[in-house]
Amino acid sequence: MKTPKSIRCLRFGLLAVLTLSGGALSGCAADGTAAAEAAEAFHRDVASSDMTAACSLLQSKTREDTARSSDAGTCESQLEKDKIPDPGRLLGTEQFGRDAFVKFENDTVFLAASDAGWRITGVGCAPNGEEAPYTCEVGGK
Amino acid sequence: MKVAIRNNGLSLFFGLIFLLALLGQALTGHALFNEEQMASGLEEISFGQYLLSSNFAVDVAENWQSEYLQFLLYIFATVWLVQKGSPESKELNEPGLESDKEQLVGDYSNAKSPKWARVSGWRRTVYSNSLGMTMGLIFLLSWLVQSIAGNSNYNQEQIQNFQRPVSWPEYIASPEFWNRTLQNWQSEFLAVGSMVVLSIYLRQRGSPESKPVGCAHDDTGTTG
Repeated sequence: MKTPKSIRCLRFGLLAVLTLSGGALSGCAADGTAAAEAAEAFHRDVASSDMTAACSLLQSKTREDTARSSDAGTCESQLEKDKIPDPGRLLGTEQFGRDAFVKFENDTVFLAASDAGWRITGVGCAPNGEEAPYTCEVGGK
Repeated sequence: MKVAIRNNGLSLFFGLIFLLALLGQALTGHALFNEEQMASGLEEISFGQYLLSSNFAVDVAENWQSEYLQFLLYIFATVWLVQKGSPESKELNEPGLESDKEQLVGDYSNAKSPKWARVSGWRRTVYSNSLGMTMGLIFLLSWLVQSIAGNSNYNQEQIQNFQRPVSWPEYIASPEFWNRTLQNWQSEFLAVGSMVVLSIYLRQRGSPESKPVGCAHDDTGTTG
């Protein structure tokens, strides 16, 4: 019995799989240090009431949504009202490509990479069971 | 040069359309990825960044693993299973590994036989199974790449949806991983099964994948 024709393309296969492995591994969990630093900087800014600096660490859409939800129409005034927890100790960071998840003792922060660095998409987030999205004080769903 | 191209027409043709299709997948995948980024209020990424992303890697790997599994199963199944009337099958009375004489190995090899077919021991055993082993290795590597890249891609979506990321063991037990896997497997198995059955009754003049046009429907193992 003969071999199907496509098998003859085998020579391309192994090399291509190895090349692709590089791509796959590049998307794996990186150490996430820069993302964790951005989350810590945000909490430091909030603790020192530097809301302008804290707002600059929010992702643009999150910053706009935060400003829109404020009576005064500014991100800074809304952050002053929000109950952002004291995060406590940094427990760990998971980074996948351009997204990161930073866990503190009393807070979880969601971040996305931008050309300007890591920006926060959700902070003051608490879990709602195993699978449901977290509820966030700033940003989130 | 012309002779070399003609003598390698099949591999050159499939190699070329593979590269064109992969490029098309990369270009459209990049555009789709950036559409989704914009919709989520996230920044677009460059084409180079997309090529190195887990999103691209999982989409490529999940198709590759299923194609190599398809041929792996086909190679092994056709050793032992036959199909009356199919040119894809051996003769009905020939299932199994066949004799050394039929396989031209050892004492039955000839001057043009590959070296490892002429020698005995582990080298002959390895060479006798080299096609299946290589296809199997590429299948396993592709499936592993799918699981790793898929885990990373899934976790990016989880984080964008404000859900917790999952570990690799959790991911390979998830509906997402098995849905991506099985939706590819079912189409491959259908295509192979269809080829085996349709080639009993239908013909493609001049194709070695078909029986000669005038061959009887119950004629097994003949190619045109």
